[in-house]
Amino acid sequence: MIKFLAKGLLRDRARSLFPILVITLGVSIVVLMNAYVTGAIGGMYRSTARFSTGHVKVQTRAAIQEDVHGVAELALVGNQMTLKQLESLAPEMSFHERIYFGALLDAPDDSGETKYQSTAMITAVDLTSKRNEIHTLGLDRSLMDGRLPRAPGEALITQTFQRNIGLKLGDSVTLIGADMDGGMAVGNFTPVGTIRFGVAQLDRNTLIIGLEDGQEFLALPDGATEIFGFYKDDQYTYHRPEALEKQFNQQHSDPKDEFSPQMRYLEQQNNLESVMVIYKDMMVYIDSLFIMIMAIVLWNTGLMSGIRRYSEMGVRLAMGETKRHAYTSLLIESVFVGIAGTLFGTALGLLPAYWMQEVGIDITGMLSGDMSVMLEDRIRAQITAATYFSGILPGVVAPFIGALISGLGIFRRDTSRLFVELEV
Amino acid sequence: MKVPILTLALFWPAADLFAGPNAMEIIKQMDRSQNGDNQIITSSMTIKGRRATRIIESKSWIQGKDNSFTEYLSPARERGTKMLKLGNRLWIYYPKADRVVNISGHMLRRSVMGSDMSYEDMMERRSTEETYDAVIEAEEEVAGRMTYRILMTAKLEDVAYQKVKIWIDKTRFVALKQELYAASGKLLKQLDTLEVMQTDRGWYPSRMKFKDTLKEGEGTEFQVTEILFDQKIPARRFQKGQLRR
Repeated sequence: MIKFLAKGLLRDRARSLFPILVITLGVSIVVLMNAYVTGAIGGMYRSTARFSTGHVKVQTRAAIQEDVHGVAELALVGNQMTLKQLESLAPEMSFHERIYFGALLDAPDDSGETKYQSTAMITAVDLTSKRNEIHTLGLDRSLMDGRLPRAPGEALITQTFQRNIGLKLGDSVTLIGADMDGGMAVGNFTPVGTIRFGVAQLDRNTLIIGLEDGQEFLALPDGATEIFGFYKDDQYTYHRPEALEKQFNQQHSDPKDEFSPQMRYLEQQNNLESVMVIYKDMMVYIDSLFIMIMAIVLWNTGLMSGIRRYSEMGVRLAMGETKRHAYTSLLIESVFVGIAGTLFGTALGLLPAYWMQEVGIDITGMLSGDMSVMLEDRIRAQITAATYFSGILPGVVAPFIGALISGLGIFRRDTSRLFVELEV
Repeated sequence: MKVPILTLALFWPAADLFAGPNAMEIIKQMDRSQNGDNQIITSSMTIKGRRATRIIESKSWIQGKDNSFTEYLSPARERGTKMLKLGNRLWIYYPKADRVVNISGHMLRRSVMGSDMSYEDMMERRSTEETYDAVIEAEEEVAGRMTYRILMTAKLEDVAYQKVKIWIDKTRFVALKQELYAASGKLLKQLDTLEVMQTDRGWYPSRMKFKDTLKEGEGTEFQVTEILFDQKIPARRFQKGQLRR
């Protein structure tokens, strides 16, 4: 019977062409949207986790309560102990100290006078020990010119910032800020390499220095403004570190001590919980929407087909085929149509998805400076295993529902009137 | 002709008394007792942070309203830092970086040594008369002393504080309290005099608390340990070359 139905579909193009076209179009859009949403949201999460939230992040209770980032006065101290505690609680994660702070960058001219001043965002990260963040932050991949810092006092500067202040690699700059006790912090640094993260907020005015240089600058021995934690397998799922967060805070966070450490996981920071929920639900919304639209279109197509095949159904019923059998055959046909449309649609959707994955869309102009999430300046799609299967549900279910409704007309046919209708 | 002049001379003080004291005159009187042509001040600044309290000692050489030179004496982290103000220009020498840095533009709004005072607070060169209109609002008691409460409203737009309320001791002519407001009416800074001392020029606020109301913390306390008026300060003190010495 299946072979018979397949032949029918192939030979009677009017029966299959339009439904397949509709499904192909719908499925291709679903596939493209799946790859786009996966890529865009995934990119946002990667950037936000990498630069802003970590998979988990530890700060002092005071820094969290006041919702401040990079305030040396509210930094964590005694971090070697905290790092040991963290590593024993979560051996599946790696932990890294980081210091974020703002400072005045003063670039001198040849006579040592101020040539250029700008506020700069400084990130002090481990560049030398076994905990180094060269790979975590992608510093090696982001290096545009020069080299990574090797000695104390060396720094990396973002390419945009370097161009804006007209600095040459190897020229010394002076940073002026406030240390942990609010005192004056001053130091000379020499940028030896330029980097570009592809994240507008960071590329504007960031300088990266070694962790020990940052601690020395801010009079913050064994301290850092934040400790970032990342899963070694780099796989983050919704609320994955929730148990770790509860356990760490229960054991080490003291509500009476505003400088005691407190852990938060990704969704607990920057209002990411709501974004994550939207992301989780977005594909369900997209699939449901396309199933509904295509089902309505295909229902209509089925009704039109029913009119065209009115005589055929009449003959089949007159020859003794049961109404149920005729209805089932219509449903099986719709599944064939769905499978064919899904295959074509998936192939069609993957083409632009692949282009968006490799080339992406430049959104630099749309980014504003103060966003809670870090957006890469080029949105890219991401084709995953789920992308290949994302069209199956709407591609098969929609024509099936369409046939399910439109085929009901068969049961309204009156067998006693068939011969009259067929003018036999 | 003599009679009218004599009459006028006799009645002049009484006429002045009936008109009440002039707010600007009170401010000028206060200025006279607190500012000489030159002065050398040794002082300390106590900054209470959330984790630590820092005491910064400094010595300043001041020439009129235009020029000043300050050298920080302690603690070790700040020792040797020098600040030179010439007119409306300001340079700071940081010994640790061996750099002279020009502080200008929005940088002037930054805090001096982490205190509640900004560089901008030190930069006003124009006289009060040039920049503000003043009116006595009331007479009030502050810290057990009767004061004139004077409201000063800025005449110019480029003044750091558009409105200032100042409580001046009625007999000692020393400010016991000041409130500095933005154009919106928001209180930005508050200054309370905690102690006064008598100098050969009059009364001087020797211990003050300066509070930036937009900043966390308990404020910054200034203690004047020594003040010398009308001292001879060599001109080279106000040369940029002095910063690196």
